[in-house]
Amino acid sequence: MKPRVFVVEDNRQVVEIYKEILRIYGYEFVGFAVDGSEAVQLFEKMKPRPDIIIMDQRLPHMSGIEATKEILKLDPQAKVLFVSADINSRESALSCGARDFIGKPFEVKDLLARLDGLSGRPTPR
Amino acid sequence: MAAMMKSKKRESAVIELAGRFKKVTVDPILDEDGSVRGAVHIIRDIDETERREAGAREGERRYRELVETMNDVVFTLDFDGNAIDASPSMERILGQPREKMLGKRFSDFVHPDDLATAEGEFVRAIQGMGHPIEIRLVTLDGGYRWVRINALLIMRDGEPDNLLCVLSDIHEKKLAEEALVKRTRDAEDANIKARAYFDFLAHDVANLLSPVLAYAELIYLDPDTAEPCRLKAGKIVDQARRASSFILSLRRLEDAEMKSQKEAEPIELGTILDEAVARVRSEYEDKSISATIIHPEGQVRFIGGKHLESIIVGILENSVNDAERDEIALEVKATLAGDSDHRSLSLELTDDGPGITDDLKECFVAFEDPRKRFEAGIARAVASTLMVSSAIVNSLGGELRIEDRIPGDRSKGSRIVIEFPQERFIEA
Repeated sequence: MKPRVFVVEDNRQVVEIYKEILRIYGYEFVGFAVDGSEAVQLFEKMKPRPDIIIMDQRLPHMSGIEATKEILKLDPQAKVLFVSADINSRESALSCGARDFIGKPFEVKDLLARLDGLSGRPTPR
Repeated sequence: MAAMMKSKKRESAVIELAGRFKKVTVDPILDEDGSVRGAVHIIRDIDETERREAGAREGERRYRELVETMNDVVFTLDFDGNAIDASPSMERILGQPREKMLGKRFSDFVHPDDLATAEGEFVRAIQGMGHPIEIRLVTLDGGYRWVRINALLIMRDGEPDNLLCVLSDIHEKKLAEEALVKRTRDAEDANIKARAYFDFLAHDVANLLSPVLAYAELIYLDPDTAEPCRLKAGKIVDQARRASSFILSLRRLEDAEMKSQKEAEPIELGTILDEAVARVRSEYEDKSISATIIHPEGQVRFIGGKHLESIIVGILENSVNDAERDEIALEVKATLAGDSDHRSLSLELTDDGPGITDDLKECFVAFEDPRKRFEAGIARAVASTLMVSSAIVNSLGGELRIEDRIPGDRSKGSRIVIEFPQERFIEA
């Protein structure tokens, strides 16, 4: 079964490239949210829950850090991969419970290595 | 005395006799035709009284002289706050004659915004607990002047008598301070705005680069991509990586400037060098990077180690990016120099790449002032990662210079030499 990935990202072009990468490399894109509060609401309703959440930091209404905290309250086992152009958010993202961090612009191989690590999949590439 | 004895009226005089003041009163004794027949002398010792009064007269004279001539204004208030005396220099400060001030309450001359301060100090001063205050006084032309007032409770015969207020004109000094505060605030505002603009720019460019880099990489990695397209996609990936690396360098510069030395954590030098090289290797897994690391084993901890690691990573990434081949040799060498009073830490980062362009080298040679160097770099379109690294080094108190690996032959690679002063590191 393909690992399910939920994307929280306000830049539609970046969402599109995530979809493309996930499709090509065997992940299931299960939806996206363009702001933190929407992400929390959608996550709460998701059955089953996604295996991985790709989370941006700078989002309207609620930041990625805040959304991560809320999501972890709903599901402490949720695996959040923080992907942000704001490299200074690395420490706060990891300390609030994100499993990993990658800076933007990311390279496909780096993103896949982290997704594979979180999903427990071996990296065949 | 002889003249007094001939006088037909009562005469008196103060004389000093045997070191003491005496008051001599001579009452003439007249005969019937009014001639002086004799005199009654009364001599009283008035030494204590005379000395006290003379002292008071001298004190008053000296006080008056001081008040009339001093630049500072002295004025006296009664316990209702009314001015009962003022020195002439009051006119210079407030632009109105002191006669007009006398009899008026001090609050008539105080700037409305400072009235509460003045009233509070007045209450404290009449209790003998005054301290200097800086307030504005209203001038005759409707303006104001900054003054410093020190109010002293004056006692007479053991009883509170009045308030002696010494007023210094600090207007120019205060305006200069206000101008400095404003300039500092303006500079801080400009800095905050510049940081915000840079932050938006760096963030948004990084976001925009994300799909560029990722799409190009997908094309590059796709086995169905035709070879000519794959090569072109590879070039896009390289350029996007370089742009990304440059933005990251600028962010590191911003970070280094934001954090003071106090916040900077000392890290063992060997660890910094090892981790920097490991980071570069992991970033460029597709390249064959041989690296030699030389450092004084376990002897040095660098204050602000994470910044140093970022500097080294930035420079080595630059070397790898510039080398248009897959095999790169790097050397990272740290040495201590100087005597026990003037120690310095020298870092040499050497590559065997294509060397540094003359334009960029010229910027480093021609401009010692880092700011001018940076501006020149931008003007000549050579504002590279190296320029940013140089600025980070400067912000940490160090100096960066560039050399050819083999002097005189820039095509054989470059050597970046960074020197830090003793304050930047701790020796075991």
